[in-house]
Amino acid sequence: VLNVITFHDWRVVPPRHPHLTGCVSTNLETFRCRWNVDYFQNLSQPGDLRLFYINNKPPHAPPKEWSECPHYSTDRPNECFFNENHTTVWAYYSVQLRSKDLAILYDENRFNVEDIVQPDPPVGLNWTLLNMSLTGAYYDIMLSWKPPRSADVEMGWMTLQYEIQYRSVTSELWEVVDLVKNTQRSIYGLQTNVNHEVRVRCKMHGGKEFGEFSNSVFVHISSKVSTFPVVALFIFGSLCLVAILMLVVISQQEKLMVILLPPVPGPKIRGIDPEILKKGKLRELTSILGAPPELRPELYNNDIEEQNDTLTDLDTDWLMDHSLSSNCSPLSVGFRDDDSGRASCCDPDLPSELEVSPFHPLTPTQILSKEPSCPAASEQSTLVQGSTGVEPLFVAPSREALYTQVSGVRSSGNVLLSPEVDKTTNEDSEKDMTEKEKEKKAFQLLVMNADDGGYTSELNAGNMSPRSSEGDMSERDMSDHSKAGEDLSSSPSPSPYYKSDTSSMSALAPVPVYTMVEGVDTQNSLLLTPNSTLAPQMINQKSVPTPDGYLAPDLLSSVTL
Amino acid sequence: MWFSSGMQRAVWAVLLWPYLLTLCIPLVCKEEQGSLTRCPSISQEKLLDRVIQHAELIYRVSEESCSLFQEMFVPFPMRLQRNQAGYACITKELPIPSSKSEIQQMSDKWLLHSVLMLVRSWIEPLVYLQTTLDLYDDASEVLLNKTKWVSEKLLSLEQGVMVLIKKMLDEGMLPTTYSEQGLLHNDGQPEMLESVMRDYTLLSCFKKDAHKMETFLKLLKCRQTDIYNCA
Repeated sequence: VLNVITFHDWRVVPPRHPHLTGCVSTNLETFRCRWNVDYFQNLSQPGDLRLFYINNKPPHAPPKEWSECPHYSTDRPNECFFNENHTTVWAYYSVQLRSKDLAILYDENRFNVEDIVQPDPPVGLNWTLLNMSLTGAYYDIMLSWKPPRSADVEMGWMTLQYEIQYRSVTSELWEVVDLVKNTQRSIYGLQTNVNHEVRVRCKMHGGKEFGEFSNSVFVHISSKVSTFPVVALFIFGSLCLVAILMLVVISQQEKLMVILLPPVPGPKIRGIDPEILKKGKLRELTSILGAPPELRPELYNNDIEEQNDTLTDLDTDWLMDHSLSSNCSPLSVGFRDDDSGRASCCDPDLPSELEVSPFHPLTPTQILSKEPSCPAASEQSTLVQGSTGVEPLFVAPSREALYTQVSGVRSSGNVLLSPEVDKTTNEDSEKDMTEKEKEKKAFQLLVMNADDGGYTSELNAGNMSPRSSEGDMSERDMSDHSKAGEDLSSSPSPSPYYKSDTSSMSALAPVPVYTMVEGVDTQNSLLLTPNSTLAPQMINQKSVPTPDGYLAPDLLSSVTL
Repeated sequence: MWFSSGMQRAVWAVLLWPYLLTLCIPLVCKEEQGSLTRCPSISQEKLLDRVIQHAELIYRVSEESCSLFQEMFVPFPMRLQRNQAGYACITKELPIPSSKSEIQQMSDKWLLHSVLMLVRSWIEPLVYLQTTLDLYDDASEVLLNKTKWVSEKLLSLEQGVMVLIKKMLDEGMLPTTYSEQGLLHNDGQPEMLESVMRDYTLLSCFKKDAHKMETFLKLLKCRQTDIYNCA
């Protein structure tokens, strides 16, 4: 039992005291401990300081005695070397530095051998050129080395990780490359004509401390290159290109817009001029709607070319008329719609007077071929598809009534449109003339020319009931429209219009559910067949399956009123 | 010495990549939770490589956990006082050699069985360590995640080694008996410092054993590839 004065807190100990500088193992098989005597030169004689150690292998052994250093190094002073026989890797060592007479404990240290590993530096550092940059200003090298001889890497006893550092000799800062396990690594982007210094060190995998650095290797490649013009040229060239591109884009903005966003052709249908409806000019209206039966085959014509010939004031430009003033983009003006021979919705070359002419047959192909650029036009084109599921998107926000409802037929054969009736009947009906309802009526009105495929779903257009003041009628109307559209053979069940109050109709003759427009008389008023026996003919009509109530024109012939 | 939150994040980020690595290295066939016979596809070499990778990672992470724990909880003067009488590392049933020469003399079978025994002996203590670490007020997320990760990977390492034993040694399945494992600590009131030191010792002992596992496996691999240089 050693009776000693222990100095555990060596901060209190004056720094000149001999102390252990560290115990280091290079290969996990041996280790050495070194100490420093500093100013105590009188202790520098060998044997003046002694090292004792103890390790707890095996554990639970009774407290063992301290053993002295197995071998004090001869090649250098103040070092104790533990060879393989005295080194147990996974054991815990305690090492003490004592005076010769063991009376004074100068220093103490505790460690596991695997924790104090600092491998020797790698050897054989070498580099090869990988490639040079195009300009000759930079190059890449591949660095290779070998693990230190002392470390038994082949057996797997030690696994090493390497760290490369390089710098140009002029700079003080070392660039550090990430740890690698292989014995080679590439370095990219070294400058030519600059002297570089490279060095490697390693540590054990999972270990804390690195070993010493290897000897540095110098890398130098010279080349003749002037880097400045190339870079400047590239930058200048790209800027010029960008500027030219911008100029092109800006100057050709309009054309580019056409290419990128081609204008949508307007709808091919010219409906009724809303002005006519608004002002209640029935004469013009009847002239529009009136058509001798022999002209009907023309309505079936889906031919695009022929449509060009039959363009009249019934072109859909009328439908789109309102959009002229509002939402047309200026760009679309002047661009012609090739399909129809007409301009787009915004082209103002429309005949202003009304002529007797059949309706333009509607075909989805025409309508859908190009979308009008004006948003209102697009809505109208969808309108004329005749889909009853679609709300009459006929938009005329600025107008009160593009279409109206036939509220009655006078005995003279004149068709009463609801704006006219409003004066005599409910004031509320005008209020109810929301755009939606009016559009519906317009739907119905157009469908009265029953051969027109687009509007066949509105076969109850012949319904003469006035627009009721009840707001919910519109809902029912819509739903019934869809019903009617789906099943054209539905009996002339009382349309909701019938449910409206017919008080206003008392003055009028009893009207059939459906009727046929026989023609337009000279006064441009509708000539309707007052024969109510026509209604049952509806029953005979076969049920035509239509998507959303849309009838193809070829099916129209089967539809008779 | 407590980690600032910024340091924690940095440590977390730096030490995250082992997890990514293990995501790419499924140790053995996944379906072998119950039976070990359904892994015919993986070759022995590949299996051994993967087992070694696992062991390396486990050692690395355990070393990091030990350092983290030491930084956080162990007072500075106590750091050298590890492994004092009260905190010896656990005993093993099999004597484990501690020098390279001794290990080189061990047979493949012995190596594999030692590894398996080591792995099994640490499964429960790590679980215990997890629970105790949760009790610490300031245990960082990083540390907890690391210990949790290690105990999970230890389980897959065990399975890998069992498959390896079956493939290399053609032995049957070994019963999964967990040897009694425990720290020898003083019986007494577990004060904070006591428990800290106990856990610290646990971590460092585990680190040591993880290094042993890794070394044994690597020696095994060396023998597989080149018997002359390794023996």
